Amino acid sequence: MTTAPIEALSHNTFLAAAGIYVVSAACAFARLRRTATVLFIAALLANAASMALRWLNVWPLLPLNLGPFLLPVFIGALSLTGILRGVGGWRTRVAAAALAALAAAFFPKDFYLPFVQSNTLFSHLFTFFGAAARACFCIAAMEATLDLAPVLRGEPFAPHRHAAIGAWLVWGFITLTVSTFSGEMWSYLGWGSPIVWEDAAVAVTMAVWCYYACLLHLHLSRRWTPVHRLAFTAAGGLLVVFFIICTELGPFQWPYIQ
Amino acid sequence: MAVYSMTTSTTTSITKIWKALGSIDFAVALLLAMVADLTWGFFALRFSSNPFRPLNDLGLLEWAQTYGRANLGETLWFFLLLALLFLLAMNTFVCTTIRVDALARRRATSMPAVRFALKLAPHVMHYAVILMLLGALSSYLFTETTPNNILTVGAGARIRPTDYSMRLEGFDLAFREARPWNPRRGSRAVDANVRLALLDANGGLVREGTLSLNHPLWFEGCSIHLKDFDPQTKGGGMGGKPHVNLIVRKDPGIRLYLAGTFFFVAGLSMYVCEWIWTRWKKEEKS
Repeated sequence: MTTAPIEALSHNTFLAAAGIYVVSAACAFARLRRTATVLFIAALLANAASMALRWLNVWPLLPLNLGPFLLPVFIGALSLTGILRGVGGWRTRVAAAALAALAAAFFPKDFYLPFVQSNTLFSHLFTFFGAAARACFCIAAMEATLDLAPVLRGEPFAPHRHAAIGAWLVWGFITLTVSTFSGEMWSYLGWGSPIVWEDAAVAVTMAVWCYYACLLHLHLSRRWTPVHRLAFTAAGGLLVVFFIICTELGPFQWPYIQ
Repeated sequence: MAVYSMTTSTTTSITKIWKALGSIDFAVALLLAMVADLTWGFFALRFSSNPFRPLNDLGLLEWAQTYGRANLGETLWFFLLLALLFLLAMNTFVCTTIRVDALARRRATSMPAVRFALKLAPHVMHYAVILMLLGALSSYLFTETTPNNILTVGAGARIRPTDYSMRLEGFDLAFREARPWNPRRGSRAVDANVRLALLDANGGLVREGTLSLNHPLWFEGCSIHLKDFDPQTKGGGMGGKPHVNLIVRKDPGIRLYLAGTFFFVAGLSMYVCEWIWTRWKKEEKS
């Protein structure tokens, strides 16, 4: 089957975006802040355009395997004001978006035909907010790790980004909940049951939801100090990366231009 | 005097148990246990024969006695999850009730109505979780499902467990418009508009109804969902007669479950308002 022009354009635009993200990250670590920022915005726009093309191509159905391609868009878009202002940890966010884009470029899943049951708004909300939640949790984990690093070096604890981390966690939990409920509504309308246990993704999504529900309750317990909570937040990032993001990736494949 | 002392000690013990059951540390321990259990479930589902496929069709009790028991190595995590969910529901109810009681006492002394309503947000979410769990449990215990009702035009089938039946009157395919940048997309159907005649036990027409993908038809406490249809391409198909495949479910727990979802979303929206308001006030002060 030949590739439609719009599919080739979307694919190539994403590869271009991934390349620009990497150059932007290299500039960020070479302390070329202005160049890094300009390149980062260009990569973000290319990434968003690529996603828009994929969506437009199959609308009103849902493009499959979209999660890994959407993740760098959300990490980038949600971090943009921080990157523009050069807040602490901005380089890490640029690097995270580049890593996420590289992972999607080198470990893509096939472009299957979208399935007809995705013809509902809930399937789109499920995917969109799911990717937003992952980005929020990844950013929270990165910020928490940056706050923890001095403590691990033996320096006194100074929670620079404490309130900001809390905001990322709350927004992550809200978007994950909206995504989960949208998925349940989709499952109910399409197949008659809100939860279908045969899918491993359901179990791991519930695990992540319980993890962050637990994290949002920790401040009520005296046993959990702020340092413990930061470590818990950082560990949550690992859970999201290994059990959600990595499981959405396909086998290794050299990127090629269509 | 001895009777009084015994009553007081019993009351103290009950209070202690009540508080322990609703403690936040117990909630944290339960949630962490659930994370571990669901991670186990993830591996069990991914790398096993997956005995969970018949769960939605058979219902929990029958499934537990057959597939669940026969594949205990792969399903044990699920039974453990049910026990943990029961404990979590108890913990959530007690913890939330204690906090709502304390909040109501504060409200009686000094708290504006709007602030009080917003402060209730987390508790609305917690009670909503209990509603959802009860709804899901009722669904798994009492739902009756007929997973495959394959109908050709003019053919009928009983709507189990009722005495009513349905007859396929016909169905129209919906296609996307072909675009210059992707001419292929016009050839594949994205939906089917199915017309059903709903009949009583004597074959008399009760009413006509339509359904399509993700738009089920509700009739006499049952929901009828379009699972599949053929042909799906213009002039194509599997070569057989045009047909649709319908799922029929009578699920008494779904309303409770959806009510729980609705209240959770309402509570979450209230929580967001309260959270933004508190942050705004803090920033204003600093």
